[in-house]
Amino acid sequence: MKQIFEKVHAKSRLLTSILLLFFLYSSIMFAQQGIKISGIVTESGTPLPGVNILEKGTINGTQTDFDGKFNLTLSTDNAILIASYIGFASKEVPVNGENQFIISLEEDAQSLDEVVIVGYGSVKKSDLTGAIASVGSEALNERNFTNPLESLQGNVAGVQISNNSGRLGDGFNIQIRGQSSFAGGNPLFVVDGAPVDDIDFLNPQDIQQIDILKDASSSAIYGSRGSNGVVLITTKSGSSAKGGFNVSFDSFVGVKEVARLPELMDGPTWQYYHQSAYLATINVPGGALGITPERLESSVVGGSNSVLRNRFDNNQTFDWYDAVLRSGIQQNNYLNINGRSDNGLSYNLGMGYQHETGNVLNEDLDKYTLKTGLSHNVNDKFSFAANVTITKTENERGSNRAMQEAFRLNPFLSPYAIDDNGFETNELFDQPGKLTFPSSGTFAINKTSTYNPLLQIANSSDNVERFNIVGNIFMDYKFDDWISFRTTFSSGYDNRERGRSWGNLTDEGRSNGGPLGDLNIRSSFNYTWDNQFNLNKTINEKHNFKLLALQSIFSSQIQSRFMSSRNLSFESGINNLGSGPQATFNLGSEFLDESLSSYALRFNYDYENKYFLTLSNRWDGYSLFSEGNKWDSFFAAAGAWTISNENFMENSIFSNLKLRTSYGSTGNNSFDRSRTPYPTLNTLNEQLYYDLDGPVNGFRATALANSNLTWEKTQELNFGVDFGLAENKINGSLDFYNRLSEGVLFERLLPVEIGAESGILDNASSVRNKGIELLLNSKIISTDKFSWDLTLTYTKNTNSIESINGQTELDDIGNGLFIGESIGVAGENGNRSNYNYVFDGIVQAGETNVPGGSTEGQAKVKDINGDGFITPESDRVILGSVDPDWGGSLFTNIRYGNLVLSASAITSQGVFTYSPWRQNFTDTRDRGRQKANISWYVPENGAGIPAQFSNEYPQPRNQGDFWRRQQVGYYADASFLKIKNISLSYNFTPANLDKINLKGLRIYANVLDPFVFTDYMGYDPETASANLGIGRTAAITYQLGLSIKL
Amino acid sequence: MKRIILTLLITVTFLTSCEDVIEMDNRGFATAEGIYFTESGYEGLINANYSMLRELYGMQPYIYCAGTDLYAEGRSPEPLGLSQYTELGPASEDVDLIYNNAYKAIRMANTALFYSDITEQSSNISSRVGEVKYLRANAYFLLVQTYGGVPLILDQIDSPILEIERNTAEEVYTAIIKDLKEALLAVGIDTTSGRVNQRAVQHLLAKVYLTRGYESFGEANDFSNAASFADEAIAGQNLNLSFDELWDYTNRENEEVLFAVKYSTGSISADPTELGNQQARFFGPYMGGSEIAGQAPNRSYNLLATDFALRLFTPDDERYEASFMTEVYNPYFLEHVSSDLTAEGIRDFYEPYWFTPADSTAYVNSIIKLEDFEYHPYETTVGGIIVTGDYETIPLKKFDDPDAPFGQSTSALDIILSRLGETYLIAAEAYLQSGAPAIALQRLNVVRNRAGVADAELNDLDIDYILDERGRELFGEYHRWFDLKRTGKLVERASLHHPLIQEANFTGAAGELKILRPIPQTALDLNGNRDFAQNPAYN
Repeated sequence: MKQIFEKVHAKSRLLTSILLLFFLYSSIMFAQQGIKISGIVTESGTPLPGVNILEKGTINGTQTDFDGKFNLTLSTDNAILIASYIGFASKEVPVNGENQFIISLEEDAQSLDEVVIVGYGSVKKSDLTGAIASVGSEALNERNFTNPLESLQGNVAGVQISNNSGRLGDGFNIQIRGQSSFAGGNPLFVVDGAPVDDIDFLNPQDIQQIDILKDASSSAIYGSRGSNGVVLITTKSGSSAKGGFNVSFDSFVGVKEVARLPELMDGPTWQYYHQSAYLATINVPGGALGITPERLESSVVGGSNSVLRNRFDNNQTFDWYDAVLRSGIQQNNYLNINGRSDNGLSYNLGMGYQHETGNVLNEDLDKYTLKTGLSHNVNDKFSFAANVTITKTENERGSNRAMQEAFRLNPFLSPYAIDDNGFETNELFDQPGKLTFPSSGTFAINKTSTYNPLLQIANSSDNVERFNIVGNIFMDYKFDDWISFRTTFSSGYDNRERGRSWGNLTDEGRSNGGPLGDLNIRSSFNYTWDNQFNLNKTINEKHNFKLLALQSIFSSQIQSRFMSSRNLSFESGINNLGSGPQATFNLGSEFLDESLSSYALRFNYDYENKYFLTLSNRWDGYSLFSEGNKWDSFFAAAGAWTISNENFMENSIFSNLKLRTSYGSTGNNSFDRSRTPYPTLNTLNEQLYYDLDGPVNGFRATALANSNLTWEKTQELNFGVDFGLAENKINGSLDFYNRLSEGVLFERLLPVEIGAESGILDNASSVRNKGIELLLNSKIISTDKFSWDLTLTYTKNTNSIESINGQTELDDIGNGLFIGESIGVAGENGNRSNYNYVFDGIVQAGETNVPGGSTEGQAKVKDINGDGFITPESDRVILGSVDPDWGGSLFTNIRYGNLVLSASAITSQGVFTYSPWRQNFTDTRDRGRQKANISWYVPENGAGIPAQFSNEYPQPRNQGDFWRRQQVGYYADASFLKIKNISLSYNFTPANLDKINLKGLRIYANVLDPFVFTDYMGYDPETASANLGIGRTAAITYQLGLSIKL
Repeated sequence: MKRIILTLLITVTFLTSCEDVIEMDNRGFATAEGIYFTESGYEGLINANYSMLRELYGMQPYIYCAGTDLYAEGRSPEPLGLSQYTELGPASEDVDLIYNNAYKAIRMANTALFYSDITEQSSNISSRVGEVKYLRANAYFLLVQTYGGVPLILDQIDSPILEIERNTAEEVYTAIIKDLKEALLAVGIDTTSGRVNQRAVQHLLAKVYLTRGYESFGEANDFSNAASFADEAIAGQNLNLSFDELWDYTNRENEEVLFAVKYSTGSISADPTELGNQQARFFGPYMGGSEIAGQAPNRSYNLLATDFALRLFTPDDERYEASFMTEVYNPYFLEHVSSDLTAEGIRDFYEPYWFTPADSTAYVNSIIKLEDFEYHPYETTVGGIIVTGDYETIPLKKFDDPDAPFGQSTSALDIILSRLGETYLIAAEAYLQSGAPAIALQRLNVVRNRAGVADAELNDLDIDYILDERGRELFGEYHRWFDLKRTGKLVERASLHHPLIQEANFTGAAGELKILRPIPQTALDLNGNRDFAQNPAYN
């Protein structure tokens, strides 16, 4: 008996909690000798070691050995065997007098017995009371993304994940149940107990499971950090190791091809555009009609553009897309070794190497990961485990403006120098728009002084090296059957070094008289120490009680260092910054500290697995708030009723039906500390310089301190239903939530007259998010030979501002806040707010008395109140919100024999944003740059170029104030439907593998982002609001891969 | 059981120390309360106040200069609203430059005044308070001239106020004069230290009285007060330097400077491409991109001298040659850095309006011409016409800084705000308006004498003559829009002399004229007071 218990306990802590239930049934076991049986457990023919074999209704059990075999002496008559294994559907096998068994298990990601991590513990999914989504390793890796958040994209209803910019290494944004906070909308990421800034550094293959705590009752256990949701990442640890010794190797290569490039003007169109752009600025009597072709030609070409004229005549153009873009390469290799020995020691080792190159020259990313997990069940009372993940990321980000500059260069400019006859040579020329003849130095083209992007790319570097260690150690001591103590020490270290340098042959190098560089080092270290008591008690076999008592401290330090110098003596990048003159040295350093002290209690009760109740409360104290505001508490309650476990439901079509309801309160204490480092203090954050008989300096505070600052608090009500029909062939969940965030942390701009340009960080406004989330899984067909699965998510969130600065009447136009409207009206990334005039076409010839005074060729706007004038008070309206109206995803999987075809899609609808791409490529103020292939206004003129009465884009250099300053023309609907991937894979059968001595082999081909359906004009609708310099072109990735189990 | 107790005990012992965990740990950031109380910290606060001048004047000067009779655009478009009034509105480019930066400066001044009583007391405090009051008055003076009556905020604000009221222009002038009079009693007399000094205060007081004198609420003795403060600022000092010496880039801190925004390479070294000023970037043609680093300035091709501006100068006026780079050597900066130019060739010559064909031929024959020598006929050298090539219009050389790195905000030369030459012209205008034209003429002729031109005659003297003289003497300095607006000549002179401005451009909503600049829309949008009125012509 003791031995058995030991074996049971030797499983992971995840399994412990499942088995605990079986253990509780042990009181009904019969001590009786029985027959000996044996067998083998396989997964599609492959032996499966480490599978739990339990005699139903007893604690009598064993595990399969290295070869998947087991022996067991039965303790009851008419016994039924239960074979269970993490990630697999459990199977019950009646003994029926047999003594040899072949049991085959099937993997099942959506199994109801799945264990969900709830923060400081775990529960069976069927016992869950809150809204928590759990995504396992297989789902994370089936689409082969190299970033963990992209791997998660579309997997969870209510969670919106989007690409920041498409630039290599720029990461993804995640938002859970809409935006409630203005400052720091990121959820809390916890990797193995250690909070981290982001999870970009992880290799998705090192991740065992990601659990997302969506509703406040679930995240309330994280108290003051839970408002934006909590993302718990559990890496593959020793306890997840399978029995025996297992080696697997995964590898894929991919080619990333530039795709869906927006169409720019061709040579003749651009020439026409360029010529027409002079019509508005040549001042002759009669306006455009008075301009003669000769006058126009002298302005456009003049005396210093002979080569340009030639190129015009021969339509000799250059493809800048082609010059700067290339195919990217992806490589991913991952080796995993895990095992479990009989003495209770188990381990998991992972090694990964990812290599990726961007679609723009000189951009690449290398990620090295090393993962170790160890766990040891020393005896039946004492166990410990340790986990360390070490990552090194090297990211060459190239030039942050080269792509933008290259695509801006007009098609008649080439990067190459010319000879004295005007013929192109092979040599790069520094300013293609200021082309000169080599001998005389006179201009061959004299237009723009943009620096040659190819030289810029080749001679500048923006390199980020990141080194991360995340790890934890825990010890668990079981005093008695019902009480245990666990202490966990988790720690995260993140060191980032960003070095930028510009050589002699760059624009910066030239302007500064020599190479220059800077180096930014930011290192952060944090630790969390959790001490927890877990109590478990069952009374009368029906009442199950659990209690968690937690005490925790968290402490974080961030240190930043900065150095730069100019006029370097050598082209040594950032590696010899001291070689510049001392007068050019620039130094900086910064220290940020924060800490949290916390206590929490959580109480779980269930009655006969039918009625569930969870109550929790957390108390947090935070170092950055003033005395008196330091402490707050966060309460949550949740209940669930598993109707399908009631007797009266025995014969219903529902194999599972559960109602959940919860209420919780959480906090948010995150804000942008690079802007307001210690917001309760008047920190003198800006250094100012002057000269009073010699250089002097002084300091000032650009923001107002707020000594009353406290937590943003969110209260949320959640109703959910989990359902399963036809033996769970159709299953899913539906959730409704309503959350009110009060005192939201917001860095609010103050009236200009106060003179504090950074405003104040305060808690004066409130925001509501309401929404629906639906997850639907369906096994449409499920036979041995053929299966078809479909998974669908749907998310609809409505965001509205309830109060601003403590009142509910007056909008705060300056900050883009409008009562009853979405936060998303304020726009994104510091872009222009979506509150503006409404573009109403172009004023045509002969049109008079246009409200707002726009004249022919200029953009006009709608006179909303029809008073004949355009005024800011009455004619600006809310144009839309960057928040999507709804989003969704679809996954499907078709298996025929060993062949699997799968595909996934995501969509985001009703996204309205200001587009920096449009701002650049449809800006007709500028006449020298390349433009999108648009139709623009050209008036009747005497210069001999055709008129073009566009109603979409204004006359170049005569756009009117509404286009030029209010930028009414640069908004766009960025809704999209994206096919994220289509893959085809083949699993070799054990029969095939025996010959080559493998346990498993899978080969596959995968295409990422093959199709996008959108009306958006630009690179990628997902990154429509990204800054033009960093927003990258879209791509399609073609991958080939294999996965081997030894 | 023993072990349970032991564990509990350990845990409890540990917990008791947890309160220390959440003490705030701020090791690097100085706080206002911690620093401004010390003598050196307070000096730093005063330095920061001075530094605000760099934000007010160091940027692009359209709001000071554009839309007047003297300057017009070249190849790059200027902010259309400020320069031509056609599309001038509350959101137009750069209309908020003074508004935003003046209120930042005012906030700094209010902070300095707040701490002056409670900081560690030293012998410097009272003069520092005086200096700060001058700086605050200067910021309000810029505001009231540009936008009319603006909110008067004279106290330190440390909690968020959401609604701001407008004060009348009259109230703002009263506050300015009060500050300046208090400053005058407190500040020192040294004009070379860069600090606010008595003559600088007198100069500004003279200008404030002069400006208020034209206003409907002006007081009877405003002009005579202006005249006497100007005379006090002059303090009997003559204009001893030649106009050329005045603008020698190695001698920017000369005896005639009463007050300037101070720069030096040492004080901008932390970021020489951002912390310097933009003054050298305007008033001349584009001369190339970064390939000319170290040889010529980064020029924007804006705020070029108009035909009218160039024709203000007579051939004998020394200020013409001293202000403009009429001959360009190769490289551009050569004239500044070389002591002997006799053997150097000329690459560009800008013909003056008075050249006859014979003058032209004689000139061309008399110089060494470089291979790419260009002779720019007068009509092509002015602003407001079509310009396509580089170097086409005549460059202003007064502000050239040959030592500055190539870039937009890189000049480390002082921006002169008050100098003796202008004080004489203020005196002249004040005496003229207060009914003493004879004394006005005396003051004016001091300026003309130094320029080597003949004395003005009494019957020539009127406000237009003074404005013309200011145009010659102060070309490029940041006064012109205020001069025209003060004297009520903005519409007349801008539409008459600026090639791209017609009188109708000034007509705004309800037939009102766009004289004051509009209150910036960002300020209106951030103000919870929805009754805060926009200026006439912009509604």
